[in-house]
Amino acid sequence: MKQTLLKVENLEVKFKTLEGMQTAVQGVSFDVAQGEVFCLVGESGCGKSLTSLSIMGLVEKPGIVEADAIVLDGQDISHLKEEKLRELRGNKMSMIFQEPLTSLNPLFTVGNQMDEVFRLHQKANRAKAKQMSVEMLRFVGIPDPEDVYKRYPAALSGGMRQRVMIAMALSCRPKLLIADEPTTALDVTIQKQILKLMKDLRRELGTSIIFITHDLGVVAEMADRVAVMYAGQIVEQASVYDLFQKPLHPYTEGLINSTIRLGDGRRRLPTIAGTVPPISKMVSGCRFHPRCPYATPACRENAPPVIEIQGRMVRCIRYAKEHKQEGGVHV
Amino acid sequence: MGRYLLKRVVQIIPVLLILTLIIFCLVYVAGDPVALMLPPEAGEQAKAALREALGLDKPFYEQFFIYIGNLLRGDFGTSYQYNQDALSLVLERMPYSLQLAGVSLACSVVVGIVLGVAAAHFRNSPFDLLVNGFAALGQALPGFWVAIMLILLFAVKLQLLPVSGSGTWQNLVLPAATLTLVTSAKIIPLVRSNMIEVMQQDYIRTARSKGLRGSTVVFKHAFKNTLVPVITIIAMQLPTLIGGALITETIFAWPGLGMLIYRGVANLDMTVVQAGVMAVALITIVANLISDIAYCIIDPTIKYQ
Repeated sequence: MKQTLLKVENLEVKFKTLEGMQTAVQGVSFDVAQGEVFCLVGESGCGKSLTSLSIMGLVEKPGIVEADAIVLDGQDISHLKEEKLRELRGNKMSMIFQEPLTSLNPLFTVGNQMDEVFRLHQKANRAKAKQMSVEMLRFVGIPDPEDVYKRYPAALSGGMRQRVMIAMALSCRPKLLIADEPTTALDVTIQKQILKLMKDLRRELGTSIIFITHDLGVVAEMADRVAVMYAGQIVEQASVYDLFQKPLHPYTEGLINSTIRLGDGRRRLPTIAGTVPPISKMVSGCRFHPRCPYATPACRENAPPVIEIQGRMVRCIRYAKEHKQEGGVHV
Repeated sequence: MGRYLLKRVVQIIPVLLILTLIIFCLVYVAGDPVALMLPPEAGEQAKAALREALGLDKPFYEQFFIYIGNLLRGDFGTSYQYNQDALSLVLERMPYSLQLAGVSLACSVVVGIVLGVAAAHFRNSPFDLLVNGFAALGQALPGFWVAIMLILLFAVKLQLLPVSGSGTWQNLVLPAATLTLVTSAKIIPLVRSNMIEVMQQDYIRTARSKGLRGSTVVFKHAFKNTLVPVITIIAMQLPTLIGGALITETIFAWPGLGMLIYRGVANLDMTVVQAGVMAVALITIVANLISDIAYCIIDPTIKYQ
């Protein structure tokens, strides 16, 4: 077993609204091992991005982040002051975002924006920062990095800009890279290139990656382990192989069933009926029960416990029963 | 950039021609200056003689071309009121106007940007409410009323500053304060709303994710993105402050361009009005040109073709 790099325990993100306190992320706990690619999967609005922003300390007011612990490389960062957290950001942990087109400041050159990181965290002078930036651009496979260094983001394509973002994020060789849907806004061929780049970089630098996506194809390609999120909670955690081989949670099952496979022919694609409940009107009991084909009256009443089975984790009452009665669903 | 600049400078020529025509037409229809220039008891013959001497008996287009010809030689005509060359009158008053406008604009920009950025940063706080209230008042209150209230308070009641006139820095304070209040009130809400919008952009999140200081994020990454609309409004205020501060200048007896034009209009001294308006128009054109150049420098994605 590899050493744990990040440990998140009981993370909660709440928002103070006019209708009272609303919880967007609840009871989220997971570990990321060194050099591991950990995928967070779920529909839009399920709390994937908020979870990652909480780790970075970038959740903005009126959001409130609470956690028992967020331990990065042996240091609990959940209660760090902004000043101390700033020293980690872009340095020990960094992040790339979904929209490469808008994630770079349009009024500064690529070089200017890249230099900032070196000048801030490595106290490099202008010339040294430039040299390091160009080196980094070359590292992420940008042809003619000296030229790109001088350009404004508007002169670059989406794929190029995402490469620049990756270069910027990896500048200080972070231990943790959070990638929030980095390929969603790109077309498939570029998507493929960026995924390959990230895999190569992980191999070369040994960076742990939290990869956020809603695309199960990307998960299958990238992940070592996967956490499936639904309505602000992690409902299942497993290795990528186990997850696709035998999904435990009905939601995971629904997600996997609703993907297209080669040779499907003229099959009607199954979908998960219903929609995610809004956080302001969260349902009682299991959050998935209104959409769950296996729902029982008990699901409506009691929030299901997190159950550990064979090194996997699932938040579903069916497996609790089975453990007690030695029957029902067999894993 | 160089070609663009040249193009913009060349474009000024037709603008100036049209402007000259408009100014000339306005004056042409404004009335017969001869009646004012001669004593009331002067006979028709004397009036006709003066008209002929001034070229006022010639047809409209001929007068216009003579006027343009004179302008090209730098001859703006003579003010009958001051018995002085109109151009030299304008040039004499210009430093006063530039001084008042410069100080007011500088103060407005500083006040507008500082309060606007601060209000955006502390949005929906009591401070933000206060700044918004100040901006709303500044836009709603007419300048002449503000001027009179400031005189009442600082010159009459407290006797800290002179009521009117020019020459010392104390004379500059009240008119500049009046103009600053009115002008900064236009800048504040613009800076505030732009700043709020920019702070929600993805690249601000990127900047923060790099670990940059809050002040670097606000003043480097966010502020530059709010500058284009702010420069637009500043460029729009400059001519208003130079030629259009006519009520403020009149109230404070500030001997600037505004007051010169006001007196010229009141006394149908059209050569002065023409020269004054022309000067303000030129300043407007130059201000626009400068702001266009500033856009190019700030935002490289703005391409002028």
